[in-house]
Amino acid sequence: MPQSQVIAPLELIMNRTFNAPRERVFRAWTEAAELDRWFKPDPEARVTASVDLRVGGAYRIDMVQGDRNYGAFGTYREIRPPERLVFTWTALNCGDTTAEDTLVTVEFFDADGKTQVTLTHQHFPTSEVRDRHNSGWNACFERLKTIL
Amino acid sequence: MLTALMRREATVSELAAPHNISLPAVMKHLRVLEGAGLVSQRKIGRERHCRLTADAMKPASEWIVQYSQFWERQFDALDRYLAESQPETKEKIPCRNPKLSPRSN
Repeated sequence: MPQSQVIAPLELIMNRTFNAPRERVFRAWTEAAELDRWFKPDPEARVTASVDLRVGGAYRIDMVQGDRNYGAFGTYREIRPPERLVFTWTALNCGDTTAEDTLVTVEFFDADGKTQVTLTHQHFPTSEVRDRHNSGWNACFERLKTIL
Repeated sequence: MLTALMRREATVSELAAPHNISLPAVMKHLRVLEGAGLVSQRKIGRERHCRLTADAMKPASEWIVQYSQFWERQFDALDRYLAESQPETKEKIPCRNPKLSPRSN
């Protein structure tokens, strides 16, 4: 593996087409009441979201499942309804949260009335290397593993 | 060099062997990798043994796997949610004639 591949930022790209117009899907991603109802990796989880939908505004999503608390918070970087949403993402209750420095871009494409969502999650390993002594990361993934 | 280390721990001279560079140059390169937290070295007898720092490599691949599972689940959840809430919305997609405004809803 060339060195650049190890050092390059990690990027995860996911695609999915949803059977709803993109205004509807965009709303599901940006309104607290909507997020409360679906933003949960497990149907049993209870979700409380708060959203300040403006550039620089903060969001926070708390998830409770049994005796486990987890979630994420961040700020909005770009809001372009109904086509593009960019926000920072830091996982909550995952050890040292400062170790997580990630960016999520959600793009909404019209596909004959349906919506293709492309989600890009970037993680910057320069900070990962810098913070490699923090075990927060692994703790986080252990926790994620138990809930997935 | 990192590829070689991904397979197993190696001595500095073993790492240098396949490359047409001097031992000091290899050692300098290793110090850079060590400084970046990717490689660690230890001395056994007269030889320096190098290995990849698992902590530096493991989170990267785990991060990808864990978050792709996480978002996959979130997409499933959104899919279910939209399917459930769709009939209540006024934005129901007309099947044949998308140009017509669905006033009858």
